[in-house]
Amino acid sequence: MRERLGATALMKELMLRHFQAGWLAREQGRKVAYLTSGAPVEFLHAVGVVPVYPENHGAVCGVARAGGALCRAAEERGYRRELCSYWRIDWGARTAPDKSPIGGLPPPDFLVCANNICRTVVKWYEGLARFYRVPLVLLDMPFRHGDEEPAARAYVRAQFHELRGDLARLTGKAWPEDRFREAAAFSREASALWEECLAENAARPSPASAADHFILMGPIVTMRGTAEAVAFYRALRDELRARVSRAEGAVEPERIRLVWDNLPVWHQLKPISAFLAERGAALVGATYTRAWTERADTSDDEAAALADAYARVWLNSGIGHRERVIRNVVGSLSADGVVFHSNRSCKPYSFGQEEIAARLKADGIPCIVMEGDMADERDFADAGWRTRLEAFLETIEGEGGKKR
Amino acid sequence: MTATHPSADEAIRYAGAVRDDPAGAVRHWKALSGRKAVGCFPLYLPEEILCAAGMLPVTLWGDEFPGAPPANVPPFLCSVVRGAFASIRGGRWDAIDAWAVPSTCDSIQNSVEVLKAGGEGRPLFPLVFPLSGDLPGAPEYLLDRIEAFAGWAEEVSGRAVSEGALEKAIAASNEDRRAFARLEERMAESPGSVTAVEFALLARAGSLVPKETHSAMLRAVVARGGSGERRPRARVFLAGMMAADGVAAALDGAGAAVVGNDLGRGRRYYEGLARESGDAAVALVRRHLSRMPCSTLHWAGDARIDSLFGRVAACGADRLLLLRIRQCEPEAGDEPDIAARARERGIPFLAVDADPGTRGADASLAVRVGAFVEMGE
Repeated sequence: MRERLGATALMKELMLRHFQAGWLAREQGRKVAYLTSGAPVEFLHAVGVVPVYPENHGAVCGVARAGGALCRAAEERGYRRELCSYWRIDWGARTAPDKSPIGGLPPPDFLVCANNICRTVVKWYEGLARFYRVPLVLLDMPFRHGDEEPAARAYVRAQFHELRGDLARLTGKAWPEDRFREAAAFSREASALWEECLAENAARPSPASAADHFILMGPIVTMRGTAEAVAFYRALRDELRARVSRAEGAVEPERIRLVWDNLPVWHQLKPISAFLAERGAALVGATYTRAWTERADTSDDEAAALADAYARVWLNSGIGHRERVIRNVVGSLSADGVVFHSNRSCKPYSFGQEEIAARLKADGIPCIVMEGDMADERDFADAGWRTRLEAFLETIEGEGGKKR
Repeated sequence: MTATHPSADEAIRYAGAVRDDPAGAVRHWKALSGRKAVGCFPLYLPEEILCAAGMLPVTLWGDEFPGAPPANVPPFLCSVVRGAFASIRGGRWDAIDAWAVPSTCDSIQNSVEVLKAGGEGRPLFPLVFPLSGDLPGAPEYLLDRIEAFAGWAEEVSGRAVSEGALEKAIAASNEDRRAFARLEERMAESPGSVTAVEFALLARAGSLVPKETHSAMLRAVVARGGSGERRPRARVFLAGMMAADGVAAALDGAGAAVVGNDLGRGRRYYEGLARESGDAAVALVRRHLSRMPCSTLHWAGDARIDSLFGRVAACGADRLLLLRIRQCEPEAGDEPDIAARARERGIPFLAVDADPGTRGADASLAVRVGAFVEMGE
């Protein structure tokens, strides 16, 4: 078993400080905003607002296997089990914070919701706005079924331009364009470094697994736009490069290389990785981790550049785009197959996977679609997963043997 | 039904016939008119554009073919999308010439992508509308989308969407909306004068027949005398996406009267007039951006819940029945706050799973609805 990446410990410390910052904000005279993972946090850093991510909290609870208990608490409040588990975890932690490994989240002063990851978050945040009686800033980014529509671009840009005034009003501060540009530059740099980290997995054996990436992506989700995130990903990239130079792999021996589509099954991250590793299979890439490599171009109009970048994120694009990206990831990482996690909590990610899988299979790329849930461990059939994954790996090995 | 002035019985019979053979109704219209039909996913599309291009908008609610074999789609999709895919992939909608899909929710929005990726060869138009009229640039963006939709409709139909044709289509749609509003008024003023089954049939028929025909059907039922009226055991307000046949029958069976609704296939679909003068495309933009609060659009604060309970009070309802479609996230998201408000106001409230076509569910639904109606008698 290879040693853990040194960056993992640093990341835990960073994330701990991130969660503490929310609780300490009031003492420091700072405001707290909840925001969705696809919202432009760079604007908030500019005005010194502490960003808090309920989705990230959902992932943390998922990893800790606290998701089921928190979802149940939300269901007792009237939230249906069919709703996204992040959403239910968030509501559950409001009535049962003791069940959250980090004690829930500090209350927000306002909310920023962007629908570029799904429309579910809009309903979720509307409910939060009613509960806390705080303002909700909505950023509406039209889904891109094909090429970008110029009118959609203008619409999103108009909202991003107005966001500066909204935040100035909500914080009572004049808009600091210099700090905004600095945050945007940090964000761009962190994203580029994150992309470099992911690209290191083109090496054989790959220096990290996608399961590592799922954990290590915490700062790019929650802390992009900060110098800390840049420093963290620079250190991680250097560590990964060192591993590559020593030909150290996350899985040894590495016989099968797989790509993962959709959010991880947080509560099964370790068991699934271990199960695969025992069989010589490594998850070398994931579409979800790659989503945070999308970044703004440099521009005099930083707000417009960010608008363009946030509008073209992975989940705001059609199946054709997603299929092309998966093919690129498979090609660039020399992957042998794709595991599609059909995630009952994420309808936009999951509806269409069957079609993408069918097209990849037609071109000889082995695929399997597995049903589960990202954070509610009650919706996971362990035996079924193991049996199907095992059969999938055997099929790939058989095919690979023939090719080799 | 071809009569311009049908009797109420004829109108209801025709609505039933359309329910029983929706594709047949579309084929019949196509044979008579020699024109095309566009399948629309719910909820909000500027159908006037399609009508102005000489086409028939046909809205799929997923319950048109209850016996259609299931399609290969994930189990966590709602019955609207699953039903639509089952009927499309099962070849039940061969009479449809093209598809228009609005950005109602994640599942419906993705439907256009999945149809395309699955090899659907008919023309498809995804209409992504702004979530709120309050956002900067929303009117300009929607105007662009409506104009693009008109361009697509012209291509599909081979007919120009002229300003005059659009004005005519707006007038016909407005007339239908006014007629539906009169039906709702009648149901509130004379509880029981229109049964729940009749209401459900009429609401559904508007998704399947030309606006002029539907207006005539509604007018006939509104004009019907009140001799058959009875004193209802409960005055029920229906919230949710749609009243499927089973729940409507259960309400009638329990002796309840529907006096108001907030249904997707009901008030939300029919509400709001477009201006009949000035730029027609701008009129469609304004109509969409001033819609009543709906779970599929964005409203700040309590707007939707206030609006819902305002209408519950205005129609004199003494109960609120929420008809749930499982896996409908927009509706499920509002449900806890609707339930809480009903408790605060002391309004009897029940949420029931009322997915159409769920085998064996009608009996249990009837028992639950019956018990709800008996409450507080």
